[in-house]
Amino acid sequence: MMNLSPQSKDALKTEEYWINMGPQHPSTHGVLRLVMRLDGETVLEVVPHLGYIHRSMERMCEWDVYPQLVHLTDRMDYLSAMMTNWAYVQVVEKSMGLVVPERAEYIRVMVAELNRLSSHAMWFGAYCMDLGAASAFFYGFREREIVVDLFETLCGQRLTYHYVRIGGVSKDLTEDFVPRVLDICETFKRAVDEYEALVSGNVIFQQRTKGIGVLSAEKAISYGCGGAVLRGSGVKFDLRKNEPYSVYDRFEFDVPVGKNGDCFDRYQVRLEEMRQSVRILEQAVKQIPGGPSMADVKAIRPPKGEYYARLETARGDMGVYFVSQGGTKPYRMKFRSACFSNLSCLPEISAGWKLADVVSILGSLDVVIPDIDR
Amino acid sequence: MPASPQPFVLSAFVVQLLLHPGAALSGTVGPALKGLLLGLGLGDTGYNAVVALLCFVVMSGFVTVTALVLTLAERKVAAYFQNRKGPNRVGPWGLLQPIADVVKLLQKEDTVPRAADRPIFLLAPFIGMIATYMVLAVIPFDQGLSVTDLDLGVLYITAVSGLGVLSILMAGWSSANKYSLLGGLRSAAQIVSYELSPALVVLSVVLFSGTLSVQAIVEKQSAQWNLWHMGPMGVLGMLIYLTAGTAEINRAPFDLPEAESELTAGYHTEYSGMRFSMFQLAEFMNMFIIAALTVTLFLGGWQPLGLLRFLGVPGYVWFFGKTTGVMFVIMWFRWTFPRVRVDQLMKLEWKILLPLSFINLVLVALWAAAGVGK
Amino acid sequence: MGLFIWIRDIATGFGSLLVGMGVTIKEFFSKDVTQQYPDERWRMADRFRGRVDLPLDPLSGAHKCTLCMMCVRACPNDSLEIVQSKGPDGKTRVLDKYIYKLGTCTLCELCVEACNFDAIRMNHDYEMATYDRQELTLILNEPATRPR
Repeated sequence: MMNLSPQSKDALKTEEYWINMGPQHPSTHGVLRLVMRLDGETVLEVVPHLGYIHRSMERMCEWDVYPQLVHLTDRMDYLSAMMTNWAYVQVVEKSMGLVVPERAEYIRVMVAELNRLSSHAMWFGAYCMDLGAASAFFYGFREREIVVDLFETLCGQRLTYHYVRIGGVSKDLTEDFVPRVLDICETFKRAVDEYEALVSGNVIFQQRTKGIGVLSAEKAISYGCGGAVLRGSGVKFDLRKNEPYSVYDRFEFDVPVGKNGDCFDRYQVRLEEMRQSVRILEQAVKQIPGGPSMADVKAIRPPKGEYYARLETARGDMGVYFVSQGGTKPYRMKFRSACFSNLSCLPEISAGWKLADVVSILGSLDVVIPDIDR
Repeated sequence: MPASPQPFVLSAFVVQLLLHPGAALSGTVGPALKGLLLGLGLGDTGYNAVVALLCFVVMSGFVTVTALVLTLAERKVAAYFQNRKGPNRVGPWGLLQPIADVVKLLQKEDTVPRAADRPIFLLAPFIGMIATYMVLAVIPFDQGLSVTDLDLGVLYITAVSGLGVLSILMAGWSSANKYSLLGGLRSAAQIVSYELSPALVVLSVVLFSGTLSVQAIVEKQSAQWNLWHMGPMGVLGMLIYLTAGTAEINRAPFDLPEAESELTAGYHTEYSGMRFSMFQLAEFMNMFIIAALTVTLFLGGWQPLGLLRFLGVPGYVWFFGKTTGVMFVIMWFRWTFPRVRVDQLMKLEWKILLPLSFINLVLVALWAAAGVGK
Repeated sequence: MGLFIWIRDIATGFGSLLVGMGVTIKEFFSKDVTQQYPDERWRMADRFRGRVDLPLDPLSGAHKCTLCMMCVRACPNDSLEIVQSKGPDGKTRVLDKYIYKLGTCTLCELCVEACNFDAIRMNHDYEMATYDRQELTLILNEPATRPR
């Protein structure tokens, strides 16, 4: 009689093996290579390999003058391009002490919140598709399309907006902008309810996301995570409330926080953020003043020194740091990308889960790889 | 006096073929063919051989046409769930799309990986088709219209439907690819587990109807379909059967073996061209079989519904109508729900569906013993 | 008690699945959002940034470009190049070739914003794919024999 219990010498032995979820993969949200060590279905170690879309943007920033660098930031976190533009522009204005007209500030807030809505709608679609519910992908994209159409009317492009510039915004609002924003608010209120009905209560979805990939609050802070990843773990920190920039202190909105730090909490936080963005938009539309949309800017020559500013993009905490030597071109430009820090916690929180859970966890972290590789 | 009775007899035969094909084939065509073969000197065995060959040809034609139509139907139904149109370029409403797909698959290169286990690799798709054909042989499309009517029809179906797992295991193992192996193993565990609940549910129907022959089970539903004749156990049984059946055919939400977002096509990754289409064919025909079996066991097979029998609609129209309805529900499942993880899948079967099917069996036994249905 | 919880869990789980199915069947019967391209084409917004274009002035029939080179300096990645030549009178400079490298252009519109003479604009062209990389280098101006 063979004794097949794990301790005996006849026990069935399993071997660990390495598997590669290659750079081209339907679920890695860009070109991310995950090399995993598995024992059967259980993941023991995940090693992300980056750099497949490295375009040396920080080096490119040393060749051009400051106004010419804004369009590069579009292509980093392309799903929140408006906010990435703004992050860069904000630090240059801060270095020069440039005052942006109030109307431009309001316009920036509105386009940033609209961008957050479209980014989260797309994230929702992609996340559900990763988990297998293919129809939800189309519903998310249908909503995103409405916002992107509005941006096309406003600035001319659907993804790489190049709209928020040093000193303000490049073009003033069109006449149909405000009515369309109010339509978008109504659409998104209904849409988020539809997403909740379709997915949140679904027992299969809950089993795939509840309790999976738990990130404790201390770990989240020590890895430097931001955005929904941090708030999902219970840390109530949002740059728009804790370090208000621009005119965010004039709006009333809540910061949703999760309890357990699992995938389901991060998902709920993002859905709730969509509702809060709608609230901000409705208030901004009422409060927006008239006036110029661009400051009268001559040459952009930040004084010698080092400057840093950060901003809450759809993915987290984006910072821009640059060193100026008084000229028209920066000496060194560094982008502190939100997704890089968010991804850094992946090896720790996915160890011990199954292969299917790694997909779920990676989706819930909402990473955009071009932001990591720049 | 009419000129000759031949056209009258011929048209009467055609009408009988359309309205009661089973009676026409066994009453008119069968004896005529037997007479012809006796005249040619072939005895009983010759007759059986010719009939078997004819049935095979007809069933092959049926399988091919159905599978092709189902590929298009799946895409159109998926598209309508997703607010889009699906194929509509090739022919009106995309009706010639399957032909375009077949032509495309035929002209693809037939690749066999160098490290693959060649005989098993080449044989795997056909084993799946064999299992499919074997089950189709006993499904009654109309009164007397089935390839054969075994006295142990239900037992035969339960035995043969597990053969499909062989083809998946063979494909997964022989592909020399870690992803395929993972997919094949997952699928083997899944199919073998999900054989049990349908078997118990089918047993409850057999208990209620008092016969193992599939044709007899349908004939006993002439007054009332099993769905309500068996009381609430009919509904419970049908739901269990439908769920377990969807799991047995590897369809979402249980399609881990082919989970695109994790394993990029799983066990049939390495197949191309016509071999790949064999797997697709087997999958669609399995869906048809599960739907047909659900209809046969619970929804009255080819029996009309109550008073609607007086419309004179032939039995096979009822059968295909009901089967189409059930197939639509199976597709509805696929495009709504996220995928279930492997261990949750096992938990669903062993901890939920199996106990429920035991309870169902006991309740049906009590129901039948109380004299209902006699 | 455990049995009751088990049954209740199954029932609520099943109910949640039905709610999800209700949402999708509602979408099944809603209007689709597809556009039958290429039969129906999207009409771009006015401000749409397609690619750079050097239009002819309807009044004078010539390009408005004054060869000030502001667009060439504004472009962040050298996608524009202007080749000048001597005019018919041998003294003035005229536009010979306005070379636009669509392959490296990021459609950022900085050149259009830099031009003070309204000579270039972004048009609404979005079907710009070609089979040959050489076709991506466009010469935007009309022949150099046109007077300035």
